[in-house]
Amino acid sequence: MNCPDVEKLIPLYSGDDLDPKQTRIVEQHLDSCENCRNQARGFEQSALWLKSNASPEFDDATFLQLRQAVRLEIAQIQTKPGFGDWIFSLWPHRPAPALSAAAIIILIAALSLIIFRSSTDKNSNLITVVSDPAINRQEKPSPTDALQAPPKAALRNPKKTIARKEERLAINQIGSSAPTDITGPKSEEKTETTSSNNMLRIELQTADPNIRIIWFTPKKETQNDSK
Amino acid sequence: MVDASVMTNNLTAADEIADEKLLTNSLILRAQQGDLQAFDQIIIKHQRRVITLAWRMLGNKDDARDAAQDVFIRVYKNLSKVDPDRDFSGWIYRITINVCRDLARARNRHSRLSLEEEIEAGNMTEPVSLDNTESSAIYNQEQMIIARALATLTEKERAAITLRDLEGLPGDEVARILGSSPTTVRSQISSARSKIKIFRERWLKKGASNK
Ligand SMILES: [Zn+2]
Repeated sequence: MNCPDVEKLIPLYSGDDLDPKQTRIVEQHLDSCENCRNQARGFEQSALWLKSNASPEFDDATFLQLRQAVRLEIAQIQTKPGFGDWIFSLWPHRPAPALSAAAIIILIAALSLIIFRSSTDKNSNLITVVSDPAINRQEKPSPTDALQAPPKAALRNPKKTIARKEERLAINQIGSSAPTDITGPKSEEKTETTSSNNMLRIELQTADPNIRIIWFTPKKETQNDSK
Repeated sequence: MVDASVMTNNLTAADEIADEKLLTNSLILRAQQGDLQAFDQIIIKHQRRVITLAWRMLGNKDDARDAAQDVFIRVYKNLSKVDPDRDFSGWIYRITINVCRDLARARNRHSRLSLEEEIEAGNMTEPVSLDNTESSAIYNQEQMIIARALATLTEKERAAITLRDLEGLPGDEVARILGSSPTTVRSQISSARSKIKIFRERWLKKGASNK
């Protein structure tokens, strides 16, 4: 092996990073080459210089500070807000954990109530659909209309509510296609009869405000004629 | 009956290593269960090695302290993933190297100077003979020069020579920690040693010519 080849291996030789075979080859060359021997000595001195000066002193105060800083950061990690904390961060004072638990239970109860109400809404809608179109036209809300709660339902599923309205409108049109003037009664309390062109509309309000009896009958014009 | 101290004295080096490993394992298990005092003990056991390695990677004490803090926070956050039977020290070395790399990049301070730039820089101090290192001022000056010498290396060369020559780890372990092949790491070590040698020789020459 010539000098340039050995010189490439000397950095690794100086740190004992060559395999035994390469080490033997380098050593044989160094025995006979002063220049490469000097090179090898230079690497040894350089390594010694590096090792003896690359260990700065750190005092106990530094280590104490380090551990305190780590502890502080761990404490911050551990108290990072969870879901419950996030909810109560909305309030200025953080309630006790027991209070948090109670509030979560109330929240769950409220949610189940809303879901229950939404299923009741569907039923009440059915009642409205089958009810008399005249009642739907009344300016005052009928009891069934009052049951039909709505803004909540509308918020939850506005499309569904629109569909229901359209359904009701269609039924109203069917009703008005009947030969009756359904300008309708202004008052629900009194039993009323309304006359139209050729049909007579009779409404009876029962004691139950939810039940109203309505019927249509042809006008007895023949009677007038007979008089 | 055999006295406990006699037993201790009779312990071989291998026994001591085994005991040390048992102690470390027990600390890791306790820390994994949320025992912060055990975690504190883990820090105490590794703090000097971590901060020194960080200084060798970053070249100044303030950054080294910040890096050490980050290292132990990362260790804490990943404690649940640690298998106590595996190489915990190697894992901490790897975290330290990664933290130092991230810190250097974030601060954009790892602006490497070429050997020539370093040597030509007017602030290059005169060399001090090695037998005078008793004086702490001289010692600090030498450290400053070492930091400058290390700053001429690439990030990978610096990590490789630090782990191999300053931490004294076997080449294969250095490769494992750095996630490189042993051949690549040997090449980085060789290149780093050559650069440090040239730096030192030029510095000595410059010091001699200034006298
Ligand atoms: Zn030669």
